[in-house]
Amino acid sequence: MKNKRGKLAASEVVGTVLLLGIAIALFSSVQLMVFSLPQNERAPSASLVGAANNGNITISHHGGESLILSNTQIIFRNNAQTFVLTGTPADIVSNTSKGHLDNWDIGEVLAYNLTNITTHLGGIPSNSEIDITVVDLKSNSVVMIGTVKEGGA
Amino acid sequence: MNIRKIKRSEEAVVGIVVAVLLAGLLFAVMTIIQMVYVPKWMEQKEAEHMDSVVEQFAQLKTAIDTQSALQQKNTPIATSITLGSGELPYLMSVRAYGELEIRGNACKIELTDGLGNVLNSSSVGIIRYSSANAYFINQEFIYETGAVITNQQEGNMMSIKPQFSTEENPNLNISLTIINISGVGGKIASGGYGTIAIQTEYDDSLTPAEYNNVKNLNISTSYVNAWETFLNSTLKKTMTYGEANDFSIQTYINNNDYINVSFANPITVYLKRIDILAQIGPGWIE
Repeated sequence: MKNKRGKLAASEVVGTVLLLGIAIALFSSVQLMVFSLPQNERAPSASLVGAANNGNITISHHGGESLILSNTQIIFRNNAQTFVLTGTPADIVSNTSKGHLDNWDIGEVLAYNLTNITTHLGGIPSNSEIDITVVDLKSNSVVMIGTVKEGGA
Repeated sequence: MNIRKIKRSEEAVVGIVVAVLLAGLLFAVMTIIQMVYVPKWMEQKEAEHMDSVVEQFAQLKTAIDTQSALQQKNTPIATSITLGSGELPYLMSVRAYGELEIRGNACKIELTDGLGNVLNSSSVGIIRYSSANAYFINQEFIYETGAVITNQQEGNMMSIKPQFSTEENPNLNISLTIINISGVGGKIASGGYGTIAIQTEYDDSLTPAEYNNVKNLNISTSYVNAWETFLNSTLKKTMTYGEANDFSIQTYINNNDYINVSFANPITVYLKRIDILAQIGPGWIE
């Protein structure tokens, strides 16, 4: 009975099953590794507008998704000088729809005292151009970049 | 080939096992894409659509402002508004819809003197787009009295200001142009996901009128927060002694939302009213 001793087909099946087993195991471990890592959050889609007037720098939320202040960083910059505020409420918060500001929603305005900012930026004149960058830390992405100037745009 | 030989043959087994496992693998990959990535892509797509509607409303305001300035009849201008956004090809996703409508008498501006006598009362029609998104937050964009307002569940904000200027000389003078939108031909609403045109045409304007001894400016609107923020910041810049001394603003949000601006001293208001006809969709029906 020569056929019963033949092991050619059996070896092919075992080999393929083993290869597939390895492929599935590898795929599963890669999937587990990928999904156990923190997911890269999508940058929030929000419309922010900056201005400098009446001794304040204001940033207004003009619509889109809410920003969580504890996850928001505001960077003020003038040439090489930088002043960074992370999760810090503004000096004045106006138009809060809920009476508090955990979430920064449409219509809500953050105001920062211009004198404080210019002092932190090395005592520059109050009518200097100041670059503002608003960063969402959760998605590590820039939500707004703009330049403001007292008496200007 | 006889039955005994077929039963002994093992050639086909491997192929079937491989095919089944590969199909399973493909199904797993597709499921992950569908569950994790499609909602993110769609949210981004709907957010981009909302940005494009804001731009289209800015163009609509430009068209209406141009017509108000030229005051030329029988010259309609069409502005496109994209109502919704499409779904992703090959993958399961939900399409976003939107609605555009012209609402007559949705806003009212009233001037009263110190005794409560109404000096002028103007009802104003508006244009409103409202989204029905499946992934991104729902937003509304409104053209009201020359202003463009963004409204969402958390509140509302004025994106583009109306024709409203102030001067303190020595008392306050306000110049306000009221732009009233009237729907004609019954074509006042459209819903769906395509791009449609809204046509606007200059109709009429009232001779600018001067109202003295105005003590109160009342605006009945569904977007009280937006008007409050705008009026507060505009008047603060102009008036010497600021809020509480020169003026006070009260908002009333109930079934009949309105904002009241009360002035400490009588002011003068220069009021201009322009009527614009509008209809949604192709063609023009008188």
